[in-house]
Amino acid sequence: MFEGLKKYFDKTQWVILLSVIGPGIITAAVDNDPGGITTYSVAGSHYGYLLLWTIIPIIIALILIQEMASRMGIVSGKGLADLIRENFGLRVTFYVMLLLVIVNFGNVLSEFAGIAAAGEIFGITRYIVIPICAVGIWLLVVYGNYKIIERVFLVASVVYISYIISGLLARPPWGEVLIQIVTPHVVWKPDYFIIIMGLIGTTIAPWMMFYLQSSIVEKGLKTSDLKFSRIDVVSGSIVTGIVAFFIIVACALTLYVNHIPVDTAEAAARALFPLAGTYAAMLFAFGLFNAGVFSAAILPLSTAYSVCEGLGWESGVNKSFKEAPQFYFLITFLIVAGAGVILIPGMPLIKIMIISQVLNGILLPIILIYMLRLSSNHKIMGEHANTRTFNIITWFICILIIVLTAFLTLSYFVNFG
Amino acid sequence: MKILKAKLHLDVADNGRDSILLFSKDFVNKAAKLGYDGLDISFDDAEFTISELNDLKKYADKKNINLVRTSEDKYWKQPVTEEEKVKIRTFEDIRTNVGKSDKKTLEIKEISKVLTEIEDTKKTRKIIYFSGFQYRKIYDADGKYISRLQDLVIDGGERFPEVSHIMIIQHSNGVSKRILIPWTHVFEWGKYIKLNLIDSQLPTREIRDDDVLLGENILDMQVVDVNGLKVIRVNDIALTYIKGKLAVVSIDVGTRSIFRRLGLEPMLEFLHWDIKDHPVQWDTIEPLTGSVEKIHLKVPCPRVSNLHPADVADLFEELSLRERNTLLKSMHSDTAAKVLLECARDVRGPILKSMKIRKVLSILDRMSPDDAASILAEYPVDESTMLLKKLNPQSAMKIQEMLSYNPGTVARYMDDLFIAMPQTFTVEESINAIRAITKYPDNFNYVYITDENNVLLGIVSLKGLLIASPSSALKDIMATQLVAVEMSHPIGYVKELITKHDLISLPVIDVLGRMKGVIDIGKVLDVVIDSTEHNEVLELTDEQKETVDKSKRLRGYYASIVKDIGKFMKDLDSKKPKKKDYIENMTLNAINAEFTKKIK
Repeated sequence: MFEGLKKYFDKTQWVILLSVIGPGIITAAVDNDPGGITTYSVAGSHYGYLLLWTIIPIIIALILIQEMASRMGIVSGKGLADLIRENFGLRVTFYVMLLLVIVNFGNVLSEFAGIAAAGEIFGITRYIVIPICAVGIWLLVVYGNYKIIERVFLVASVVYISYIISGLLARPPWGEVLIQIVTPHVVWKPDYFIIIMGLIGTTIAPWMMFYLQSSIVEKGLKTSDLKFSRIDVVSGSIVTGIVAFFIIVACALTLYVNHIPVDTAEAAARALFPLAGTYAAMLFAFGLFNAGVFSAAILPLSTAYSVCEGLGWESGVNKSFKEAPQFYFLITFLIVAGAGVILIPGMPLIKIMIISQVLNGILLPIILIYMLRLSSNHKIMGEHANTRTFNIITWFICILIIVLTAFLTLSYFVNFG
Repeated sequence: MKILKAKLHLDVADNGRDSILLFSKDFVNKAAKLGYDGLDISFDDAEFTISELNDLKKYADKKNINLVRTSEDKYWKQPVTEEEKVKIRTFEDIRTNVGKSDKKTLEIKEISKVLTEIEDTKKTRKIIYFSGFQYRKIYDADGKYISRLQDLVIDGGERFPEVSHIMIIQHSNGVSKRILIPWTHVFEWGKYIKLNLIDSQLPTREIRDDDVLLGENILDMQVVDVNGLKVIRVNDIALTYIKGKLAVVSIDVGTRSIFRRLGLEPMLEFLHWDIKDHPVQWDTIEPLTGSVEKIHLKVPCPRVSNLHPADVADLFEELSLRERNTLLKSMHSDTAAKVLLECARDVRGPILKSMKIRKVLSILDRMSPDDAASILAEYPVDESTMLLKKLNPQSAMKIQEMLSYNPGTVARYMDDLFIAMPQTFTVEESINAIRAITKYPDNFNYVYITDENNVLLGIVSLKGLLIASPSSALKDIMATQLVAVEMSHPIGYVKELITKHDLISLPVIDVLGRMKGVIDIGKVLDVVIDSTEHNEVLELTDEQKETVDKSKRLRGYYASIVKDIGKFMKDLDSKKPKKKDYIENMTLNAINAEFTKKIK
């Protein structure tokens, strides 16, 4: 990778880099969907700086896993669902797809929850906001031009800088913060571990792996673009880490300190107070809304593509309803059911958002195991298969997450003191 | 009524009740084939149940056979009366003692003797799905468990490839090997697979790289549906017996197969969900290879190469980069060239960049200079220069000439190859001359009549050539009212002319009226349809219209000068340099000077 950096001074290399960049950055931006923002806010407001140490390990894991997905996409030229189907057969694919749909449904719920919460900050009831947005999103997905959507969203994501600025304006005690980043803590409460699981799940969401690999395949990159793709992935991940860091810090400084737990969106908005004062809520709501709408459009689309790819059904927005019935059914179902559930009175929005990210974390090891087996397979990857070190580290991460899951399930039945 | 009487000894305990109906139906077939009207069938050690009887009766009715009983046993509805003329032949010596291991090989011969008159009876034309085969237990002749069936090997190349081997995995000394057993040693298959030899006697071999496995290479893979022109995924594989051999007949891409493979087919029955099977016949599909290694293997993609290049280009859009490259590699360079030209620019770019230089060069060589020029224009400058250097000098020169012309002008799109004949030739002579040509232009619709200086005099369409009498001279049948364009004319002007005069191609001449090439309606259409891609302005601006008019006038004048000068030259001493060269060596200024002299 370092030779890649040296060549930065060569103009052609810059051109190639700019053309390759994209998937990693988008995935990073999507990382900060309502589920993500909420999880980071909860982490900061419930535990202050005590969860900061998880950022670096999680980001490292994110880099490794995303690099694997992009490498697989470049070398094989196929999507993840495709590879799973061709190498592990229909049964495995079917169950993985089933789990993916369930977990992604949770994510869609969380996006709509975010949209509802944003609406409520503006004082508009969710019963107006959600139906309008659901219809709008559906039309966007089915009839819209994806490239334009992507660009608009990216531009609007700049709003997250507000968290960074807010965090800086609140003048965090840098000495203490930097120490906390590298000091692991363990608080023996189930809530703590749930949040860690949520942090893992929201940063390394399984659906993002499918999405990343598909966009790389779509770009038609070659093996010579590998090093640039790695730069794309690494920079995207680092940006995610930075935004996560500042959200946690901002919430720690404003909410934790005053013992305000995040259980409504307004509480989370309050973290932006140092920056925007009374407009904090508005800024936050805007960011939440933007992230929610875009993710609510991407998620059903990506899920439908992956499932149809895996099960051999026709897919593509350029096909008619008759030509690709399962594809459109999945999209419509996810949007309609997602919006519908949120409209049920009394739905605890924040709780839904956290639980959906936890589910992401639980599904992750399963997907990860298949990704590891595929990317270590020389028949598929040729000379670009995983190195031994890579495998050891990633398997270790995988096992760690499984242990954490087991721990969590146990903690439901056994109470800690 | 002619009645066939059969009494069978069937070891029902060993073979299961299904064998009763199986054999009974055999005999119904046999009776029908031999011309009997009635069948009296009974078993030594079993009786029909009422449902089996009804089943058999329905089957026999279809074959126009009456089920009768010539003795006093029960369960029969149609007793034969003594008054009826009966011709009875008995086949009592047929002993079908299937199941006793000692006499197995003997029995097989006997059974086949009985059954070979009727084709494929035991395994009547039933579709067997590969998913049902996989992982079934395999037992040898002694009943010893050997392994589970992992896969089947097929004999490629046939329209419906036959199953040649079954594959098992053997573990010895920590190493697992993939071993093949010839299909001919499978005695029976069903819930489990029985071989007809004992373990130690089985002729096995290890799998080779060129063996095609149904499960590994076909199942769950993507294949090209040559009829539907799309990429589909194999959900299951259907086999059946054809002339006594098990062969692959189609693949299934329907949702029902998904249910079947998950073991959920009963659920479909329960929910009364009528999802149909969706088979695609084997001879209309082209497998694509998946892994890095196997790209070098068989499947030369014969079926895809038969498709029209434009259809293949459509197909390319659905495939991944690797799959496109595999298909291209297996195509002849000529076809590949045509396909690439039909591809959209954004599909073409990555393919070209990932192809070996040698292949790119051979494709460029085969294209006409204007097509090659437009492809090269898509490369960055240093790469295209490098490619030009490696091409053979003649093609390179032509392509470079093309590239030097302004885009949007006729010169960039014309084909420099055309058929020209002198006006003195007869129709017969010209047809012979055409036949003797080795390289034809891409679009060959007209023959151009030129003089010795290559100046265009007239045009004969192929139709005209065919319907004229063979002895007529070209100058008598040619059209002299010419519509032509010059190399510097904008493409929009071509579009105007073509639409105005209803032509399919136009000759391209230079300012002196000499033939330079032909521009074809297809090129114009490309530009019209893809005007965003080509960035050409199709409607003529006023300025352009003026230029065109001017050049038309000038051309007329130059033509008259050339004629006069030509005549003048003819009177001179023939030792002077060739007239053609002489005229070419005159600069335009000199001609201009002559012209001004002339009009004064």
